Order: sequence, then C-alpha cells, then structure tokens
Amino acid sequence: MELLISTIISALVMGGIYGGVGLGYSLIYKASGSLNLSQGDFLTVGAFIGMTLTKYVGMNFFLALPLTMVCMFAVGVCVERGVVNALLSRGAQSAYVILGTLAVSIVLQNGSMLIWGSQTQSAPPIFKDVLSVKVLGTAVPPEKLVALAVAVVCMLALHFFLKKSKFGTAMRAAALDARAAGAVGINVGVTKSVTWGISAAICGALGCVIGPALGLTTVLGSQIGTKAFAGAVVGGYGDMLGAVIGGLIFGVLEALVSLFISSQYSMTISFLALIIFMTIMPQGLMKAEILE
Amino acid sequence: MIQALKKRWELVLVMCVAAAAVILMLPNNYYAQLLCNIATYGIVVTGLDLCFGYSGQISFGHAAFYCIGAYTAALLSTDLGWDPLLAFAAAIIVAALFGLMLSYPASKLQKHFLSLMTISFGWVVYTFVGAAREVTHGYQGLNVVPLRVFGLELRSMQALFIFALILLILVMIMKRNIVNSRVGRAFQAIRLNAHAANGMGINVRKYKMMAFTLSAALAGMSGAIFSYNVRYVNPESFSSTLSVLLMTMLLFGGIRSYSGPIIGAAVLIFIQDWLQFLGNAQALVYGILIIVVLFFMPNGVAGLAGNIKKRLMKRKEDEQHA
Repeated sequence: MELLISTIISALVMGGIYGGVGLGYSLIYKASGSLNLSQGDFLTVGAFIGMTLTKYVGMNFFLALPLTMVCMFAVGVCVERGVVNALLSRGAQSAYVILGTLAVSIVLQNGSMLIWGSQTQSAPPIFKDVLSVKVLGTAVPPEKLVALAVAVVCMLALHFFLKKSKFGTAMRAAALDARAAGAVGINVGVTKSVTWGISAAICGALGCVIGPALGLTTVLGSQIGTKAFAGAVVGGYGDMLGAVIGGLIFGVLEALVSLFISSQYSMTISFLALIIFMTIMPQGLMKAEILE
Repeated sequence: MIQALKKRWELVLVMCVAAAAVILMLPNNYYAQLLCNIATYGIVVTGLDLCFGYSGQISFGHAAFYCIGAYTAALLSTDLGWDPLLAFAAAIIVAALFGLMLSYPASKLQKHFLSLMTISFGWVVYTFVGAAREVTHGYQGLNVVPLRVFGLELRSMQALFIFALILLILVMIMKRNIVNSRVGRAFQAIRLNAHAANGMGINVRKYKMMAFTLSAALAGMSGAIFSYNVRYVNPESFSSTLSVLLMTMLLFGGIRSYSGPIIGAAVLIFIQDWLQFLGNAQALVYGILIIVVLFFMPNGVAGLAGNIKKRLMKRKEDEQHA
C-alpha cells in the first residue's frame, strides 16, 4: 500500500514535470513554428543555477526560485533572438532551425559540464528541518510535493496569463496568424521572444525544484526533455492541455514500468510505446494538426 | 582519359594529396586507426546523406542502426562463434531490417515528428542494449574476435583500413549510381516537395522507405567495421552524442556531395583527437561547429569549395568583360 502511494506520488510529480516542459514545446511550436530541442537543457541549467544560488550563495530557496526564472527567461530570449530568429530571417528551412536548437542544446549541456563538472551534484534540501511528510500514511520527501506544487502553479499561471491578460491574448493571436496579428498592431517579434522566455522560465523553475528531489547531472534535462516532447506529441502537438495530459501519461507509464518490470527498461518501453503511438495516431489525443 | 583528368585537375590534385597523406600515415598504428575510423564514418555519413541530404528525412537516431550493426557482428562472431565475415553480412542485414521496420512510420511523419521518432528510437536501442545484460553484456562490454576474410586474419589496423577503404569505395560508387539515376532524382523531388512529387507519379512512400532502409544498412555496415576495429563494444559508444556527431559530420562536410561526408568525417575525427583533453565536454565543439556551419557554411566545406570556385570564375568573367 505504501509502495503504491509513493509510486502514485512519483508518477504525479514526474508527470507534472513532463507536462510543464512539454507545455514549453507546444507553446514554442504554436508561437514560432519551430521545435526547440534545447528545452530539456533549459531545465538542467535552471537546476544548476538554482543549486548554485542556494548552495554557494546561501540564498533562501523561495528567493532563488524566481531569480532562476528571471535568468532563464533571459536565456530563452537570447536563444530565440540569437539563433532561431537569425536563422529564420536568413531563409533557413525548418530542418536547419531544429539543428540550430540542437546545437544550442549541446552547448548548454557541455557548457554546464565545463562549469559545474560532470559529477552528480546534490542540491541542499528545501526544508532543512522537515525530512518527510506524511501523505495518506506514507512518508514522502517534502521536496517532491514542492515540485508538484510548483508545476501546478506554473501551469495554472500560464493558463490564466494566456487567456485573461492582454499580452497573453496578443501572444495567442500572434500564434494563430502572425500576419493578421501584425496588421492589428501586435509586435509579433516581441511575442515570439516572450514565448521562448516564458517557456525557458518554466523549465528553469521546474529544474530548480526537481534538483533537490532527483539530484543534478548535466544529462538530467535531455532525458526529461525527450520524454516531455513525447508527452506533448502524444497529447496533441501544439495543444496546451494535451501537453499536460501527455506528460502525465508518461509519468504514470514510467512509474508503472519501474514498479512492475524494472526501472532499467522504463525508457525503452516508454519510447517504444511512443513509436507505436505515433505510427497509429500521430495527431495525438487532442487531435491536433499533423505537420505537413 | 587524359583529357578527362585534365578537366578535373582540382579533383585529381586533392586525391593525390589525400593519397600521399594516407600513405605517410599508414605505417603508424595510431594514425592507421584514425584512418580506419574516417573510412568507417565515411560510410555511415554517406548513408545519412542519402537519407537526409537527398530525401530530406531528418534522423537524429542513426547511432541506433550503427549500434545494431556493431552488436550483431560482435555477438554473432564472439558469443555464437559464427564466422566473422558471415557475422558482418548478418549485421548489415539485421540493421537493414530494423531500418525497414522504422522506415514505414518514418515515411508517414515529417520534420518535428520524425525527429522525435528517430530520437526515441535511438534511446530505445541505447537503453535496451544497456539493460538486457544477459544478451548484450550490458555496460560491461564485450571483447570482439578479429575479422577473418577468406582465412586471412585482419588483426592489424592497416589491414582493416584496406578492408574499410574497399567498402567505402564501393559505397561511393553505389551512391553515384543512385544519385544519377531516377531513384536519386526521386529522392530529391521528394525532398523539395513531396506533394508535387506524388502528383508526378513518384511513389513517395516507397522511395522514402528505400532511402531510410539503405542508410540504416550502411550504418549497420560501419557499425560492424567499428566493432572489428576497436574490438570492444559497450553501450556508451552509441549514445545520442554519436547521432549528433554523425549529423555534424554530414553538415560540416557538405550535404549532397560525394566528398562531403568524408571531409566531414576526417575533420571531426581529427578535432576529436586534438580535443581529448576536454574529456566529456568535446561535444561542446560539435555544437559550436554546427552553429558556425548553419550560419556561415550551409553547404558545408564541400559546398564552400564549390562557392570559391564559382566566385573565382565570376571574377575572371568580370575582368574579361571590363
């Protein structure tokens, strides 16, 4: 019973993380039509920045979290301006833009390796006095609950921002039809950059909270990123709710495979399931359009 | 024949220089292994060129087919005692089969979805090989027996290089024949506009699958050569870094060219050699290289050579007219 509850909580936490990162993939696809292969590495860099702030600078975690988000927002905007927009304005095909983001991913990953070393680092626990919290009778590290809470808050905040705020609506308009949005006075370049920034900031926040829970390696992000992308596609590429649902599906699938088969095969089976799913139903669960 | 050679004097010059370099490097065992690696990667990147450069199917998971070829050859020859040459042939066939299986969904998908699928397949093979310890020896790795061709054991680097070089030349000839045939033209048509190609009566699915499967077979071939070269296989050699390296080699060398894949392979291997001190962070240079290529040399080094020649000819023309 205990094992079941802790498995469910792990599934929810990882599902929330995959959903949050997957949101970024769908957001960026909707807004600038490109695939960002460095999404997972935004998470890694966010995790490392958060760790540096809390461990070496000694900042309070709940202060480090927004600061990390701001830093990652800047990183996201820089990547969009410096790589993606620059390539698109030179008339590069989309395949080359994808390769550009792949290059950014490599640079981020290996840059982190050079700066922070390739050993697994540990981030200090968020609550120094509380070692575990009782949820339905099972002891759970509070870091995992914080991770889940941050993921949920980020997703809700993004949803309300996009639906209710003026700029969020402008972003949605630009994503729907860039030319028409430009015609009504929306600065599409700014909305694209902000989209990338928001997506990077969310990944940074998730990285910051997942660091204390999972331990930090430089390859942390790439695995999470690929699974989150898989979740976004399963849920329906370009659909926000789909990304969250897909992420949850992958979180649950991973937890179930670890529980019943073996944690070593979890990636194998998850991705095999993805390949079969994409063969049968590439438009995903929310019936998004397939790229042609 | 002398006329034909005189017309393409630059090509002949480059080949003579390359041949001289090879002959100078060959006696040294270390350089012989580098040359063997260049030939090996030349084969797989040529295959990737057919898949991505000519037919436009992005593949970020070709390391998976390389891995399948390497492990098939290694396991069949070492664990099951097969004749190494037979294991080599089996490696190519098995990799081609997996390529065929993946090529069907791959032919249905485009760009982002195809990238995701190829990346996932790369992870599937990588994690499976690491996890299925009873069959693949997992992370412990496996020492491979040397290759035997018609009774002659190819233990030395030099001998293996000759073997790889012969295969590379055959592959290049095959590529030239494909590219200059209706199959090659179909590939290019599909890359440029799949719908229009379909409208012209080209069976898009068939040719996409052909390109993908062929590139998988070539990747399997080079994987097998790799396992007989290094004589040790371990899942770590076939991670996503290898897929990225292959793409970098292709882009840097130049897509849709004959010498491109080989130039890319040669340059990247030498860079890899010089950057040993960076350890794991070598890939940083690959990332920077990709960015440089994307911004400044979208047609790679081979394309650059073509550009320079065109500019020189244009200048000659302008001078004549002025």
